[in-house]
Amino acid sequence: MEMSVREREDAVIAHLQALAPHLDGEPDPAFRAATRARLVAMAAVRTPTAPPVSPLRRLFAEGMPAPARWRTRLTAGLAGAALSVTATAALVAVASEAGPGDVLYGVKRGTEQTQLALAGSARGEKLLGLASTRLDEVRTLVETGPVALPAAGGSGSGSDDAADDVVLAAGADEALVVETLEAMDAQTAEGAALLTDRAVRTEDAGPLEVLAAWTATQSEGLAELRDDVPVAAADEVADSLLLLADLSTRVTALDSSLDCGAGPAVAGVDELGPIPATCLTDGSTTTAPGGDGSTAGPEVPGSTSAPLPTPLPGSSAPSAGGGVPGVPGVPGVPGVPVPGLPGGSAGGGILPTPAVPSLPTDVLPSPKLPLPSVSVPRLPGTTGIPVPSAVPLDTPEACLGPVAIGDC
Amino acid sequence: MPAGPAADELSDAGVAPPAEPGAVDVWALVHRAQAGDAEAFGQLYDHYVTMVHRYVYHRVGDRATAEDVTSETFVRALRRIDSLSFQGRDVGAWLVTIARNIVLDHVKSSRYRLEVSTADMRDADQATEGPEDAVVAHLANRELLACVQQLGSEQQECIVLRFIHGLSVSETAEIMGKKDGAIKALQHRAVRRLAGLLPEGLR
Repeated sequence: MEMSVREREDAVIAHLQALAPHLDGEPDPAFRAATRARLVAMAAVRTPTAPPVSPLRRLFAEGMPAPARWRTRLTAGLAGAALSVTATAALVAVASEAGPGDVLYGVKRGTEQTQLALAGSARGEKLLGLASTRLDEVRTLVETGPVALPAAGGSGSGSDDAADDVVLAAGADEALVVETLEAMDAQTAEGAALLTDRAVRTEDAGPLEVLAAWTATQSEGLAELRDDVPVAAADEVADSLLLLADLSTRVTALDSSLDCGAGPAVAGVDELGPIPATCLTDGSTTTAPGGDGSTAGPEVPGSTSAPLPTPLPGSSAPSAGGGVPGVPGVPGVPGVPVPGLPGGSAGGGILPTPAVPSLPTDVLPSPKLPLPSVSVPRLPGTTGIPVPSAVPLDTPEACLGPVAIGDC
Repeated sequence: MPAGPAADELSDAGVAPPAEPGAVDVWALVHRAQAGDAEAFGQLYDHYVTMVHRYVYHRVGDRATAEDVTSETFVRALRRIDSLSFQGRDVGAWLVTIARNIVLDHVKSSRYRLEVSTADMRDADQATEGPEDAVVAHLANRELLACVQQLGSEQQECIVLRFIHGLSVSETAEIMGKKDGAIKALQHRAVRRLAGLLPEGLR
């Protein structure tokens, strides 16, 4: 009997549906009853807690004042730990609004550790939440710091003497900002690694989506502060932005890796979690994105199109503080032509770049580009170059493939 | 269990679909369980255990493992019940997703594999027609399942979730971690492939 394609397909579906009830699969009644009893007993001893505030919830919770949000998490932590001592609870509540440098800040961080210990499988999300709190703390430090704090993106010219005096007074705040940012980076990396690992292990893109959304918000928030942080913290901010950009790239790459027919395509692990690799499978070509060496990350408009050598997978390690040699990833530095071309900038200055180890030019499968972060001196009278920060000048040196300035 | 298209839309909007008369109000049970009502969790178990067990059983192929995984699924669900909220989640799909992840953790290969032993096909004994028809029906079912098992991992899982377990497109999408459109496409290709694989006489 001739049937059309459509009729055949409908027949297949009908056939499958008719088959379903006849396929055994009912649980054994004894097993079913025993398990039910056990579960109800477990449910009876469970202590209901407030749901963990996920990073996504934070996106929707803009209206809530920060202290209230902190208290909700605090309350969850307290309930879970069955702390009933009123005095301790009061102390913890007061500490919840403490910022870096305050007497009770240590109590606040200690309470966070308790919550982390209780987070169980939600540890990754909890860490991201803590990293967000670190950013909030930096924002508070910056917005309420001494009025004359010389800002990285400030007016630039003008009396250096007055600025020097204020720099001394504000030195402590600068150190706090740097420390808090470093803690933020550590929490970001650990939280991200947990989520990416879960995504790959369970072949579920859900954690990656959470991570992508959080990274976007966090990057935005941090970028907003960039001009207002103290001079000495500018490098740390740049590093943090780099880490977030790396993370964003990694999440996109892993998202593709998950679609690989033969199972998630990963090779090795670094501090952000599994490293995506090229998918090797039957015809489906899902190469890790960014394998095309000239693809720039999301935050660098106008970056160079020159082919750059790519680092080996697993060799990345964003370093904290100071000049950042060899950090793969894309700096969130708008408008600066990278790598600095000698002698070609307006104002006649040479853009110094940190030394970059020269790498073989074979392109290896890796999603990262070793674009260095650029520390640029603020030269008086310099026009035409939008520079991000003023930093004490080291010996200028740029070694990048064919371009070599200084001691290479 | 399948929620239907209108209910899917409501779920997407973050609102629990109105319970049909006589149907179990799942979200009321969830909220009571979240608040600490142990018996409410027991009722959720009653409502979903068969579905979860069937899913796991067809995936792993033996009862002992299926029972272990089913237990573990509900233990984890209890542990995570606080995080369950309306936003676009179907409770059944959530449970099957937990079960699916447990199976993935325990099975070396990540490929979806429909496991059906021919001893599980009860319909051959329940035929109302003459003995010949029973045999034919039984053979046809075996052929069909054999063809399903020839499909690629994702196509197989999609077909089984949609037609053997009767889940909706969005429930299937949630379990497999894909978008609705991707599931429709997957289903379409899989059905077309099955239609091509089945021998002439059985269509």
